[in-house]
Amino acid sequence: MQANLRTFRIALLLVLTLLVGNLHAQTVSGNVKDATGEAVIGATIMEQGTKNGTVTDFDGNFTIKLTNGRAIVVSYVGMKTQTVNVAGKTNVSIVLEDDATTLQDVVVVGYGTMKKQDLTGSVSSVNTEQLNAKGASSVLGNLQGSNPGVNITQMSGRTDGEFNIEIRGRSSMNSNTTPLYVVDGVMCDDINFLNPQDIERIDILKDASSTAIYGSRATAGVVMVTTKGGLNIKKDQKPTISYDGYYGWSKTARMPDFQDGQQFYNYRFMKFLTFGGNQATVPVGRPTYQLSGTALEQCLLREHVGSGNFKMKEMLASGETTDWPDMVTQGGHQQNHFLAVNGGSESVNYHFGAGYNEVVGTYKGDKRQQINFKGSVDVKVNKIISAGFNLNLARTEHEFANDDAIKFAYRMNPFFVPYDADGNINHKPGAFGAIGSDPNYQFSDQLSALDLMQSTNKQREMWRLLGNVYVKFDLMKGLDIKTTFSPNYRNSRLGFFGGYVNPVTNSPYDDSTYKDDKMNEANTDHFRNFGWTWDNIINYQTTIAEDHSIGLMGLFSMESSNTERSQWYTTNVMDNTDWWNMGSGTFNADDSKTSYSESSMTSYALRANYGYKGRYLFTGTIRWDGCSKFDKDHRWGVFPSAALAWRISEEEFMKSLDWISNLKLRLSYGKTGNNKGVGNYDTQQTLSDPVYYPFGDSYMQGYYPSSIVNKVLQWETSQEYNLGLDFGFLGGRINGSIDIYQKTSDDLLRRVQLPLESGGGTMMTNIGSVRNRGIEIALTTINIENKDWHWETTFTFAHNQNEVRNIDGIVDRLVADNLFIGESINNTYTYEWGGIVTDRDMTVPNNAAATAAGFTPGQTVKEYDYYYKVYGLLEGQPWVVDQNGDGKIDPSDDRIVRSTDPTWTGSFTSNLTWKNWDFSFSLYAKQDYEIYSNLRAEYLGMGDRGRMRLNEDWYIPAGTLINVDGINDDGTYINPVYQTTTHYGDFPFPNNASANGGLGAQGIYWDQAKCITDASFVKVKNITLGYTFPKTILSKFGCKRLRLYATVTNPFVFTKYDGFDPEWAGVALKNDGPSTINYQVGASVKF
Amino acid sequence: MKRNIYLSVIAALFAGFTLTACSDFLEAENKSAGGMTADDRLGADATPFLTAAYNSMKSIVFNPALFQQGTDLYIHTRSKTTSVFSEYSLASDDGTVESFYSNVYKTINYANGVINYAGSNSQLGYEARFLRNYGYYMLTQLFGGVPYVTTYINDANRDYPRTALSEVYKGMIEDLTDLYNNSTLADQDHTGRASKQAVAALLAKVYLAAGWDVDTKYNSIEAGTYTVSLTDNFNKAAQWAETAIHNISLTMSFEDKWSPANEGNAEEIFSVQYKRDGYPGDVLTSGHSMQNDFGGYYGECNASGQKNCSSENAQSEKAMYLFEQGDLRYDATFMTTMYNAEAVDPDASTIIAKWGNEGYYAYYNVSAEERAKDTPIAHRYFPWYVTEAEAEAEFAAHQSQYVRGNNITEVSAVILSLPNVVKYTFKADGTVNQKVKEPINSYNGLVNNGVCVKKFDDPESSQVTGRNDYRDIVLLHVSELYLVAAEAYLMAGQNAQALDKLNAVRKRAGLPALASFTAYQPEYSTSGGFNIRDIDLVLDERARETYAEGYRWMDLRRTKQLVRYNVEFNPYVPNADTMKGTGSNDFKLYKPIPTDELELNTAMTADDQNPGY
Repeated sequence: MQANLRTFRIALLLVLTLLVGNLHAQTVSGNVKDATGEAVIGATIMEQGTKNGTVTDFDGNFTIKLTNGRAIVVSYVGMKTQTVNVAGKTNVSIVLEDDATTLQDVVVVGYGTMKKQDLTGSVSSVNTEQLNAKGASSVLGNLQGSNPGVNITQMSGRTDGEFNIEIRGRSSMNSNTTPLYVVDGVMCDDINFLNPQDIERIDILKDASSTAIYGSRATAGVVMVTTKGGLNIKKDQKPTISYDGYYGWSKTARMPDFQDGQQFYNYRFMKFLTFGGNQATVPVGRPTYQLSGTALEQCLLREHVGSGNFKMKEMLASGETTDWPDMVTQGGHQQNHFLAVNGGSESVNYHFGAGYNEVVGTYKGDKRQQINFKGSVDVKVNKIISAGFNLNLARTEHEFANDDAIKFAYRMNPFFVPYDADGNINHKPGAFGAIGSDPNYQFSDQLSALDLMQSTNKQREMWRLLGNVYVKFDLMKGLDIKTTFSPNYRNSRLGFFGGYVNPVTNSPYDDSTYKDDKMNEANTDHFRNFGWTWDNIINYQTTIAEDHSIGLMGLFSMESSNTERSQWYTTNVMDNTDWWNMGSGTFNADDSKTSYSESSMTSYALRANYGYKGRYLFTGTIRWDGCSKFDKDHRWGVFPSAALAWRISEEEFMKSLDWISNLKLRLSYGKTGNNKGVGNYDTQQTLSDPVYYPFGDSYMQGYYPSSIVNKVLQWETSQEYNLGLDFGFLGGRINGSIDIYQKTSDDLLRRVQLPLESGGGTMMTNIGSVRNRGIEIALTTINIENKDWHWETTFTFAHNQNEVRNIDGIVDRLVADNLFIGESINNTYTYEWGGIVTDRDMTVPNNAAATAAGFTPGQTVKEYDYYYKVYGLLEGQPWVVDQNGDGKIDPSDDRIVRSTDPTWTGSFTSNLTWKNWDFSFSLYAKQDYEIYSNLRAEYLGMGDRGRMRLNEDWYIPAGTLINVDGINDDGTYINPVYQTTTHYGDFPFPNNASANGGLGAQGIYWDQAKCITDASFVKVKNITLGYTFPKTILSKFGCKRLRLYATVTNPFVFTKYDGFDPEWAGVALKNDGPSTINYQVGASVKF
Repeated sequence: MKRNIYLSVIAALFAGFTLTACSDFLEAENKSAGGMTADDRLGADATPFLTAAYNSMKSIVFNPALFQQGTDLYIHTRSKTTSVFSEYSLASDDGTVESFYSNVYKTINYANGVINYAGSNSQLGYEARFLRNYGYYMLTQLFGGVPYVTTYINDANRDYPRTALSEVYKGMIEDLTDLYNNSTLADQDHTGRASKQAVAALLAKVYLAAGWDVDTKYNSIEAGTYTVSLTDNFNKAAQWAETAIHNISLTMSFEDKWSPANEGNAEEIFSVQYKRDGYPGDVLTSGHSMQNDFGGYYGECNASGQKNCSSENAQSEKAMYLFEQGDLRYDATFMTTMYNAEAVDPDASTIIAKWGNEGYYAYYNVSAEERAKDTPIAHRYFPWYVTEAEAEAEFAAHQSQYVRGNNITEVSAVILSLPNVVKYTFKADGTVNQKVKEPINSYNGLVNNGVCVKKFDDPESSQVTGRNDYRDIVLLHVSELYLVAAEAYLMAGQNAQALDKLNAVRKRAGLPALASFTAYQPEYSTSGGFNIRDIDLVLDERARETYAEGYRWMDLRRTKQLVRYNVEFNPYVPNADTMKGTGSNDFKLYKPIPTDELELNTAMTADDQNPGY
């Protein structure tokens, strides 16, 4: 904004000079072209300082009769406005440059903008085209992979698809690594309420010298979002209408390999095997297995005890098995539309628009709709005062598929029968009634996923309002004061209804897992947050003796925020009323509650920029923050930073090397803070919610102190060094930057577990230290550049090493909190799965346990002998690595720490244009890391035998009974099928003979070890093909620009991970959902 | 000029705001607590804190995994996997153990908090002190010596050394004795508050435990043999048990004592309170689940009208033969007849299971006469001593009650005998269809296997799963104190008094008095090496009198019979080595100190772990 006004003032001066100097009329003709040489149709030509103007024709030609001027102003949307001196000329050729170049030159920093060349810190930027090329329906989804060191991970495939964003590694033991978002100068918690098409650019401040101006909230990085109209509307612009939108279809993709009917049958059959009788005749570690008559009937669900068909055999033969996950998924779709109008005159600029975004998820019932309104007006009142406002309003309505239904759909094996003969839902599809088996033989009483899906309703409505109003005074040359008031409002209502009578189909809701009482239940959760920030900024810019440029900024800021919440629970509400008639039900006083919470902050900041001849640049900042979350004596924090840059390419001795177009070395240091995760009242002891206890006939209310508090709680602080090199070679054909950094974060805020003597619980403390070190590389090359072709590719690469340096000054490992000095904060601590005990030969290892069991190290023995004698394991059972070789698996010495951080992340983007066609794609990679997969925990356990699981390659010992048609009275098998040779599967042999559901002595450890899995992946994020219509055609329709495109997102993923999407492999399982592939067609139009 | 005016106005405003950014602005007001801190509020009146302390007892007084599993009386049936508690593969990072451990300390710390605010010599302080001692009693019986903390923990101190068991007992005895002698606690209380009677009862149990743990040493852990060095504590235990008994004789019938209609009866000394009526929260999930935790699985409960049990903590073979013929406690402890519920149209939008006069709860809601005559039966369970002829005579006499139909597709009746259960199924007309002799092991794998415990039944339950039992959980009661006294007398060498107490309990159960300890001949079978000793009578009587109450594991541990009993009767413990730690020579005679305790408490190290873990 300041930059614009400065330009404006210079222009004004120029006009005045011209007015005085020249007063005769003149006619000028000319032609306007763009950088590619194509005529610009409809460009505005104005005589400077007057209302006299014209537009270019189809060929870009114009003629203007000047009344009294010497200069014309040429402007066109999306291009840099030019002022052309036409004194003495009758014919001019004008080439307009793309505006995108301008955007690249200016970077949004805290409380202002800077020319990129003057930047001393590490900032990376993304513009609207780059952002929207990805085709994701959310801002963060689009941002993924765009910037090195900014690690964005989608947390689920659901429509609420949250993202985890981590800039330069995790710098807090607190789980929250969300950066600070600043939308058009207003700080807020998230940006997903914005319509992606409304975002002009995103600048990510990464190093502490850039972020320190945001003081106590800056440690996790700062994401500066500029919405359209927020930064650069040009003066004198004709009204423009633009439309951007797409429609897309999504389908589930890369579903994990769940068992089909035959696979489940095979698994279940084996899971009923018990030890055979002839164990004495075979080696001890290698028993035989058998199946009794009762077990066979129970296993295969016989029609009657002792008689009738085996229902599983019958269903398998007739192909009557069901793909349950398929019953809760569907083809989804998305659409996004954004319509905007902008324009301006000498004194007023405006921009307003509306957007609509809809995502229908791949789970039946998942849906999100969002409406956005935005508007901004900037007015120049007089030479001194300018003012304006900017407003973003969003309403999001979210419908959620029933979580339990989805969970159950994945658990229900293919033999669960969804519908009865009349086509009605079987309420208990795994029970004998549905299957037709004897009452003694069934899978479970599990309620049908279909019932649950229909009988509950969960919706959230959210309103977001974010805006600001400012007044700015240009007091003298280079000095201005701006005061900005920014309100921020959020309101949400989450409603849930579970009905005994299904609100949709009016059929009975037989039973449920969330309630067994058969009563309707309704609850709501209202949340209201209002906050405001009042920023007062004083700015001074000057240049002394031409070589010394100085910039000074001072800030005084106050902010306040408060939150109200009310939750209401009722049961027995009227049928089909959702949460709109809760008065009809029975009020639940224990769960219903209201609460209030507030916080406030006062800040001062200073920034100084100094540049000498544009070669040596210095930036220094300091910020003081005072926050109500902390106790009086520990309330204020100071956050300084300093940065130096040397533009080597500007030095005289470099001028001769004309292949170097840019070379800049940057060095910075800064201190930042973090108070996320500290509750508003964490330094005050508060009371718990009430509990109720009856003495005799009367209930009494009880309270207790809700937790132990830490009065001396302090800011978390990080100190970061950054060394960076920006380079440009061959006239900008090769461009890029390399940054290395080290960020040490101390006094980390963390909830530590209190000793059990206090009753458990946690307390927030400042303990511990973590260090992140890393390197980030970005490289853009223009590989081909000629009249018809343009091919540009961008690589990014980032490596970050996270290391816990101190836990609490006492211990060097805290297993309860998964913290180990010298290891990453993000880690798993569990056993290591070694393999399966097979019938192969092995060499006896040299350890105490082997010797104690009577083996000689180096001796060749059968695995089942070795593992039986040392560990009590049988053939086909899993063994976990006995890390210290003491012959027993022990939680204290056999678990190991493994980092869950990727060794590196990277992206590759290619943009190719040929004439009017454009083709682009991008890849995103996260490599070399292992995670704990909750999906494997849920769907690879071997304890039960009724639930569906992932299809794995089970080990089957030779001679194992794997199928049989029945058992005669004398105990002989009818048509038995045996495993003839050992099947060397890589998963344990399913059986029910020994401890831990057949897994043997180490089963409980294996249960954890099996969940550790490699989740490295390379994803093709999008492939896009677009066509931009020639202006000659468009202008006939009064259209300035039209581009049509088709995008496919996430078409390919390369990974070894066997669950849903590898991207959300590490998150807690909450029905995270499958990957999807989206196909979109879209248009971008400007009038 | 104009510019200068602007400049000075703005500069003045800017400076003004900056300087007046008053400190008040940075004070966050906690409106939810009326702007007060917890300290202010509880300092003014600690009553709600005491209520919270009582309420916290709910999370520690019922825990079958810790209290019942791994003993002689309870097994897992049907498809339930054997728990680590039953098979002694328990590890120190077990979540159940840790949450129990820290929950008990929570009660203790709340109690210490009440004492902190109200003073130890106040009515609130007296009640709190009782709760604190109850907490330490639980901890010592399961874990041995633990950090003995008697001050309120309200900071992050992590230094709590383990206190020797004898020291903990000493502290508890001093505290409780003072409480009995010098407090204003009521003499007796049946509304859930601490009383002097409860203090005496707890004191008796602490003395008894001290007698065993401090003054009695093992000769052999496997054989369960020991030597008593000092009988003072046992004598004291007997005296205090007599005080707690309060001259109450066992006149009430055993069935009445546990009747849902008879809560707060004269034999109750202290119980944790539950009350369905008036509970302001979710009634359906805020009770406990004791009525569902001892028995087999009886099918689709909502449709069949049967009780939903967990297939855990079902009757072991020893428990089946524990009760001799004529012991009234058998029928009062177990539900031997389960009634049938009327079928309703499954598509009707009405409630299916009508817990009134049908199904499981018909037992409580229908008069005895009607039950015996008309109420249709779903499942019938006869104890081992009933003969097939007797059972069949019963079927013939009540044929109409065995008519199949309604929601039970197969009406059954069994004689719970070993090695084979005799299982009858019935035809549609109520006559016997089939009689099968099912080996007990395969019988245990079926649906409807075995009896369930009815002592904790709550006929007001509106559902049969989840936590919907609102019976008070009785922690101390008179007949148990009779047995405490009997054990104490026996250990103090006063066998005659011991036998008196046992016979008083047996008399109420309808059994003849025993002339001597050696006259006791149990019906359950034992292996050759297992000879019945005096202490076995005490333990068996405790098993019968307090079946399914939370004492068994603690009883076996205290009396040094844990290994001997498990090896003999627990099917998941094939030999004594099973009860040793992996690769260790130490028996697991206590529950493990939770790993987190050793990690978080800076005064404890791995050396403080209990043997065997």
